Amino acid sequence: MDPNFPILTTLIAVPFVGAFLVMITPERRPEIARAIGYAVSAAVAGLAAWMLFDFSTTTHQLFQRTETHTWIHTLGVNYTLGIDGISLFMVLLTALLFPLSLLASANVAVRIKSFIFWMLLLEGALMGVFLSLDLMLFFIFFELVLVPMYFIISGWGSDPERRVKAALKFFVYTMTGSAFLFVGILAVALLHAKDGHPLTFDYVTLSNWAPHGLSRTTATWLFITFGIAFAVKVPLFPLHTWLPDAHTEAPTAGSVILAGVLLKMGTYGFLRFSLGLFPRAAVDLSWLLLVLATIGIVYGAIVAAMQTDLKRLVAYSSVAHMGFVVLGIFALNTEGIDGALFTMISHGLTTGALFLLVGMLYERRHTREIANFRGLWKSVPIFGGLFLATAFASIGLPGFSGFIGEFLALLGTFLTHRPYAIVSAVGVILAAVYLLWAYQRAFTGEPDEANEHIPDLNLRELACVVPLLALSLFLGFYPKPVLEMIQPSVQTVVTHVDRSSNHHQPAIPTPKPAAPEKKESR
Amino acid sequence: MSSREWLDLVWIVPALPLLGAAVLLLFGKRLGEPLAGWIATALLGLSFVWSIVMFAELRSVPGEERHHVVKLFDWISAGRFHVSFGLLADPLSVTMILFVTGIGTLIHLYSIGYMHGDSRFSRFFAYLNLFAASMLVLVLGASYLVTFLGWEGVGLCSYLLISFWFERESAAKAGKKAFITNRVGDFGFMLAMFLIFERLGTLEYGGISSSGHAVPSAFAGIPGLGSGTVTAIGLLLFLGAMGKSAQIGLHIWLPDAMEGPTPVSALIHAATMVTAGVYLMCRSSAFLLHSGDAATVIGYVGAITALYAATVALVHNDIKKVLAYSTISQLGYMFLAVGVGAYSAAIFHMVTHAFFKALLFLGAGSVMHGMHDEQDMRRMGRLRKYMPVTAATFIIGWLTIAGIFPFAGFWSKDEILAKAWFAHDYALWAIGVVAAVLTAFYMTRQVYLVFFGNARWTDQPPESTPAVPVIAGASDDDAPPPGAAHDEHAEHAHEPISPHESPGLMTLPLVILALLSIFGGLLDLPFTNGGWDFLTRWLEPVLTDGPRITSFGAGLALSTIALVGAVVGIVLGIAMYRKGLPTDGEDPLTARLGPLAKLFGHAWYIDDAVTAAVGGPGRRAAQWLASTVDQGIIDGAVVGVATIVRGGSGGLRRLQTGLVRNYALAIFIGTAALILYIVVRAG
Repeated sequence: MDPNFPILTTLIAVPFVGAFLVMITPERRPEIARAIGYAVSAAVAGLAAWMLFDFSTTTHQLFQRTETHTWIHTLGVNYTLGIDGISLFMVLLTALLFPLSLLASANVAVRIKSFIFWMLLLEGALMGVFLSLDLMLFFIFFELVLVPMYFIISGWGSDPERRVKAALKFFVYTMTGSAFLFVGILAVALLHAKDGHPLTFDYVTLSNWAPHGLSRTTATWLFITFGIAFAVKVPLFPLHTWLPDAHTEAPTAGSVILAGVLLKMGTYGFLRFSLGLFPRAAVDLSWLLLVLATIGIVYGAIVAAMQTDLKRLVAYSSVAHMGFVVLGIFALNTEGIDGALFTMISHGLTTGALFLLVGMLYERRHTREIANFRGLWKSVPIFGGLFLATAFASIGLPGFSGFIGEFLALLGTFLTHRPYAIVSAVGVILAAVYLLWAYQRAFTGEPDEANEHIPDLNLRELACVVPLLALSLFLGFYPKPVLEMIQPSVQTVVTHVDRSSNHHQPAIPTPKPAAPEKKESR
Repeated sequence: MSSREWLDLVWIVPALPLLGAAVLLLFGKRLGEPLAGWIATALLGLSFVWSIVMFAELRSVPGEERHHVVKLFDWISAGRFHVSFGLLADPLSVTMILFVTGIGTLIHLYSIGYMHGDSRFSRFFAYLNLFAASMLVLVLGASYLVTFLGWEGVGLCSYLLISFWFERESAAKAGKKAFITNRVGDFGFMLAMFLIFERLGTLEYGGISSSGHAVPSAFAGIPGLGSGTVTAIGLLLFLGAMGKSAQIGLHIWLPDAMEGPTPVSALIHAATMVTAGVYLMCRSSAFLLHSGDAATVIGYVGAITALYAATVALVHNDIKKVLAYSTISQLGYMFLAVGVGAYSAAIFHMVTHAFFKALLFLGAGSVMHGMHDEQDMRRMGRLRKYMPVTAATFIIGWLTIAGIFPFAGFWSKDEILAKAWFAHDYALWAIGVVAAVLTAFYMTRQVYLVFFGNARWTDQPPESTPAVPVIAGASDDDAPPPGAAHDEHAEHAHEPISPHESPGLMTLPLVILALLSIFGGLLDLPFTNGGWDFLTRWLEPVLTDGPRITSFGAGLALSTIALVGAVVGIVLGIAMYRKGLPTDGEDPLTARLGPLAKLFGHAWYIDDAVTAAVGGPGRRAAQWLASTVDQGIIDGAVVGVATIVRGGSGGLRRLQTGLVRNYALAIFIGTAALILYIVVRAG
């Protein structure tokens, strides 16, 4: 790849241009809009894959392929993009889930043009979130994401009454969080300027200054302002109640993107900005995040088990899964953060697949109530088998990607904050409880009248789900490529945190070569 | 090729059944019956042959160097945590693969006959192959984490196979229960791994790499650990083992697991799954040797389990359930052995148990096959006249499990009890002897109710006669399994039953297993001076037994006591059930046990208590969290705040009208204003 080719800008621009193209297509030719949607999202996926193969694991640069252009000079706002091992996989996840979600939305029948428009706008905004290295630019994309998501939930959700409410709740809730983020961003930049530096929102500059430039108290307060915004997005207990409503009402594509990508904006924010700018506060307040994450893991799983709506169940399971991510991040060591990032990827794959499957079930039965399903494994064996496999992937069975992530996140936490790891490990049991119990109620037994004659998955539907499951299986057995690529970036974060605070990694003994075993003769 | 180059190919052992599982999952429908079954059986059979090759090659290496690690690829590498996907061939793992593949193949073969006509015939064999492959990964894994991969694979397959006839509610529930109960154990296993890594920096069992260098081992650092840490690791690993090996408390899944097709029960109870916990304990013996406390706990949990399950097996009437509890009881013996440090004795009993328990379960399956899926022993009797091969082999299994000289069970159980005695743990020894008497009794009862006495299957089913309280567990009176062949049986359920012998495909494995049960004791005879203790010496590089049978005279006396105990149990059983059951169906044992009959019949109410706790207060608490806390308090607070804001400010009401464009506009205006403010201040 030509090193000067602005691929990051292209990744953001292509969906936006696509959205514009969709806008100018005639309303009565939805197939054109659809074709643009497929083509653009596939092109983005291709670009992202290209970038993956071009990604260097040996460079000493913090960020690769950075692009900087002065934007609003007087305000110090620049258009700065860059990619490292942390953002790389978020970009890839986004690029993978969009074409699959669009493919899964082939049955969307109303206002197709606007649907595709919002989806592409959403993709561009999400790319911007993960690629921005300027705080103001990041914030703009962070906010921009809300708008298309709001319209997707309120416009194409399942229940015309409740979907508007759910969308509004989602919007107001996350918007309130963002207000804190905005104040925090401004404060950091202003304090930096006040310290005698030119005004800038550049992340790299600020993260070099903030750890020593801010007083401990100020840093703690700013950490909290950033943290609220990100905690709402994750969502962290007790700020999670927008999630089940939004998920349940959103159309399938909306749920997949919401769970697969949007939630990761929160944990990505913690990892990139909270740890980067306020490492000492992160260490000071790690107990709080660990407490909330642990509660989220156990509480999310218990509440998930009690849901009667299959989609709500999967939504609550996200609360538990994302709890593992936050747990791993605030273990503040390489093992934990590796695990957190891996769980982010894995959760995107498996929960994405679960939402796709629940959506396909809804299209067939027009209900999501578990009590209305029975014996589906018999009536639709392929669907049943695939759902079971996805459920086990989500449970975190070794061999699937979920295990690697959860194991490392728990291991990292165990090394630094043992009690949290012990309590959180209970989540491993509970995940099996809620998913297998739901599976038993909906899929086993003899199918009744309503569930007996429904069509099994078609090729298009298989093409949506199977790649996600296959990827999860592949990464479960061979996580090495991903772990290798994220390793340098995670190591940088950990070193940054350790250096900026009095935080120390616990020593792990280096295993000694096995002594030749002594044998007693009889 | 040198021996080590041959041993590099040990991965073929799990790869063959894994290949079978993949092929059958993808193309099973097209291959159909019986080809799918033959493919699965042949692949596992080949795996057995390959295991023999591995055994031979390992033997040709000098005893001290019988550790061969094959690193296939780097698995997980994060920060300081590194685990490769490695397999370990050593005497312990090779012993395990020999009997897993050997017994497994026989069960596969039997299943071709047993599953005849089932609508998901090929799927069954795909699962069976995957089950065997997982178990082989479990025992061959060169680190705790690879073992854990197989461990969970075994859990998955047990779920799939126990709930194989998932149309039946009870089967689906039993599969789920098995997986979740095992996950409780996995919780301990995972924490143990975290602790081992934290203190020792690796999860690898260690040994010598293919290049001949010593590789780092978790075990090497154990002497430097505090005793509290070692005890914690030992007990956490034991928690994992309790789940898989169904020790008291976490045993509740195993009796329900017989909801699966009978060959699955045989596979779970004999060759795979339940032996995993015992294997894990033996593999971790280095930890247990350094923690007397952990070993004591394990020994007593094992002994109590042995006794507990034996009492429950006394009164059950379901032919498979008696065997299920007998498995729990026998596993208790193996943990008792682990507790007194007699690891090779535990492995020996595991192997002989695999022989006779596979024999008994497959025999029970053969009985059911010939009795139209009847499982209630009260409706059997006198069947030896109709199924001579099944009866003869089952009787051998009975004498073996009862510990009658010179069958395999005599030698292995005796070794455990003798070593408990020589470890000066007389209480464990006494509990073991009492449980042995009970074992002999309940197995005699089973054999006489099924094969001897009066033929009760011609009468009306004795439903009206409450001989023994109805046993917890739904299967007693459940409809027979679905699937073509079994449906057919169900239709004939009320017609006169004509018991018949099973086809040769099913009786051949019975005969082979019977021979193994007779001669299995030869593997490890207690004549150490003559060098007859082959298994103990073979395992010695890995497992060093603590207690030694130092006195031949005392050993002989102990054997005699155990044998007398077994004979007493058998004589009592014969005395009570010689004529079968009286025509009113009253079990003579019920009257004699009095209130205990009810206690035993309900398996001491352990399962009932767990079910009641989870289903009652547990479920209510969860429901309270989901509705009152989550929807009421947390969500209510959010909505409440929003309402207050709306009510308090008329100007904001417009914002709540749902016009998001207003919000978007507000962001832009707000942003602009703030930026302006900054510019002014900064400038």
